[in-house]
Amino acid sequence: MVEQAAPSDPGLDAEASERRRIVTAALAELPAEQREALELGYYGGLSQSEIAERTGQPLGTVKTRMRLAMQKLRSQLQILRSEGGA
Amino acid sequence: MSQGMTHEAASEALEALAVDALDASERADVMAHVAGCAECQRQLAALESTASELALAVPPLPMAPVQRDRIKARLLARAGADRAMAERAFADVRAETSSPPRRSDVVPLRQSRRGMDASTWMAMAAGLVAIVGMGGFMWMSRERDAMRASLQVAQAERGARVAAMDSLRATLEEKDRMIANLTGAQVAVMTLASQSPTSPTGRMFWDQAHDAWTLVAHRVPMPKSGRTYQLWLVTPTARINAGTFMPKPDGEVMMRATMAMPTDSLTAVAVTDEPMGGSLQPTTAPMMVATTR
Repeated sequence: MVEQAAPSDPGLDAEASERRRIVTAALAELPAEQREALELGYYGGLSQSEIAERTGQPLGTVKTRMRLAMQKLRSQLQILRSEGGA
Repeated sequence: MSQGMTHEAASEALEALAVDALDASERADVMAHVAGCAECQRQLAALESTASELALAVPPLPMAPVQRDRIKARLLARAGADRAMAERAFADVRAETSSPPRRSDVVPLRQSRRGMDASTWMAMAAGLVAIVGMGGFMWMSRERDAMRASLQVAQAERGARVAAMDSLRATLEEKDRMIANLTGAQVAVMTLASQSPTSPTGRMFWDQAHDAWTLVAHRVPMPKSGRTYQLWLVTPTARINAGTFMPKPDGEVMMRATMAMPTDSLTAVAVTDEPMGGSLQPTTAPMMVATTR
């Protein structure tokens, strides 16, 4: 067995857990079609045109959905960044 | 190219750029605009920060075969475009190297003499005899030295072309190997998440048939002086060193490694910041990581 790369810090773990909870909640608040576009792009590795092809939606619609999703997330996660930078 | 992209069009694509969801050509156009636009740089930095939170929020999902295939197709298209570019450059250099050097490249002095017939030479020789002396001798010496220098330059240029051709040939072979490693029948794809402020994105391609590992990453910040990045293949019992790498100035990373590993033993792939030369075991928390379970 090898040593752990970075010892676990309960405080950091709790903070990471809280950040994860907030971001997950912010994602859950997105309209389903916006979340789908974002997840297919970010986690699925698809480009917008590939998402359009896969979902059968017009490319412009996919672009709008992804844009709105990111703008909402950015707004809702502002608090995370300000807390992280403090 | 980027000259055609307006600020409005580029700014509307920043969200997609932040999550790496643009096609290669569009990405290049937007990046070209961002490079010269302070406002877009600010917006992109904020969006990338949001994207980095997104990476933390959801654990990497198991990748469905269709997603894996699409990612491979995108990478293949990108690698193919790079290869085509190298192939064109290779053909150009080969054409230049195989053709005789142009007069303009070799001895410029000859141009002023082109068209001289034998009688002109005879007259010049007669004139030289008449003015033979130290001045005439020095003039001839300068001419000869200039011609010799020009010839040396031409030979050096030809050598440089041959070297360039060898380099391009190596590039083509490298692209071929990479394409094979990305598109084989037994290639697993893993998405690396990161909490770095620059929100780098990365994917690891594991060609299990050839024990070949290809890491492709974007927006990887340059490590501090004296530091480097190190790639680790994590199993339930060990963290295996897969080599060190440095990103290019634009944050792009393409790293390849060859290492045998049982198909079911890999639990994660991680990148850590280490002292130059690498470490025997990770000494910092991973800056990028992908889990397989």
